[in-house]
Amino acid sequence: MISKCREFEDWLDDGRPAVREAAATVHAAGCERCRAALASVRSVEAALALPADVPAPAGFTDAVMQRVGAAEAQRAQGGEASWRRLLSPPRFSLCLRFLLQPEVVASVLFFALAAWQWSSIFLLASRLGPELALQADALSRALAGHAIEVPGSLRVLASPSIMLGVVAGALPLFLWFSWQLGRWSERAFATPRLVGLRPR
Amino acid sequence: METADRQPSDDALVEAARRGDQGAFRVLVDRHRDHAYGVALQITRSREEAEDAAQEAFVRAWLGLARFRGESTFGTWLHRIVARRALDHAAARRTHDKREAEIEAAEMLPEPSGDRRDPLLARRLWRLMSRLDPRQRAVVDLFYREELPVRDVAEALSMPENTVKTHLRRARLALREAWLREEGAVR
Repeated sequence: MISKCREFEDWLDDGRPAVREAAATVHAAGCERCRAALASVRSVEAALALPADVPAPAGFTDAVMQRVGAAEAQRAQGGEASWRRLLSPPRFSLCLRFLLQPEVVASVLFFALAAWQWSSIFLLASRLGPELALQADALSRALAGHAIEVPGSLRVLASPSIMLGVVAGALPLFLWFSWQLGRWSERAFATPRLVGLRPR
Repeated sequence: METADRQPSDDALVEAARRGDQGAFRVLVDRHRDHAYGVALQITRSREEAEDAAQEAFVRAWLGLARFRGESTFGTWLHRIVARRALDHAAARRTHDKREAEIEAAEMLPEPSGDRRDPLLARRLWRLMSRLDPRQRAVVDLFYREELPVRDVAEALSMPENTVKTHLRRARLALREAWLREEGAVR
């Protein structure tokens, strides 16, 4: 039930939902002010239903086709333009575009290769390991002679819980950095360019 | 000689343009340029920016024909692109004084050539719409003229649905109040 003019105005401003139309009609029947308001809304909507055609300026079609030709010429160059368009929004969702950035693809390929050749890498490490261990031992003996004192505060970092806390704190920073790197890469490699547009 | 009955439909022209036929696209441009320009002018209130926005929209439509799935008419799809481009141009407008001057200039623009039975009605609305924010004009245009649901308007203009509803509500209120004020002034 709509008993107040304010409620009737709210109904008008909400687009005259059908669910309250009957109550609004009853109210308008007894309120001249609201009847006038309803008439004004109907007039506005009637005017809005009219087409918005306005004669385009002379030479409009020729100008459009000229720009289309220029855009086609750029697209026909292929190669770099083609893969740039592939990454242009909104062809793919933001997440997929991020995954297709060059540095992300390179990282994935690197780790995929590492995982594929893990046994070879492990074998290589096991061969190099003893040599590295000998070198580390020689280094530590060399350093021992100079008695390098590790500050007490830094020893705290060796605690597993502290290390876990540091990693947890650094993770958001890493994610933010990755996000910024992805956005930069998108601007650098994937921004669509249309020639023939007037500069603003 | 081609008769009106033999004019190719928009769907046929779109299909030909999708295969690279620029002649077919030219026909589409000729058919929809007045509507596109009118929509852009409605939002930007500047002849130069409307022309630029409408031309950009056609170029984007050409480049994006592969993405056009035919779920709506070509005109409706183009209308959304034009609204987006016009909104970007309106947002980039530099000074308030320049905007006011363009609104005044818009009052002197030719009448929309829509329904010739009610040119005064259209002209009156044209004047009232200049009081709205460009985003409100774009929302009102897509919602009423193209009869798009709120969800599609939100998607076309890249804004949340609640924001679309807010713009619609405020636009209706502003238009209704302005209309009533004029009625009071005229009578």
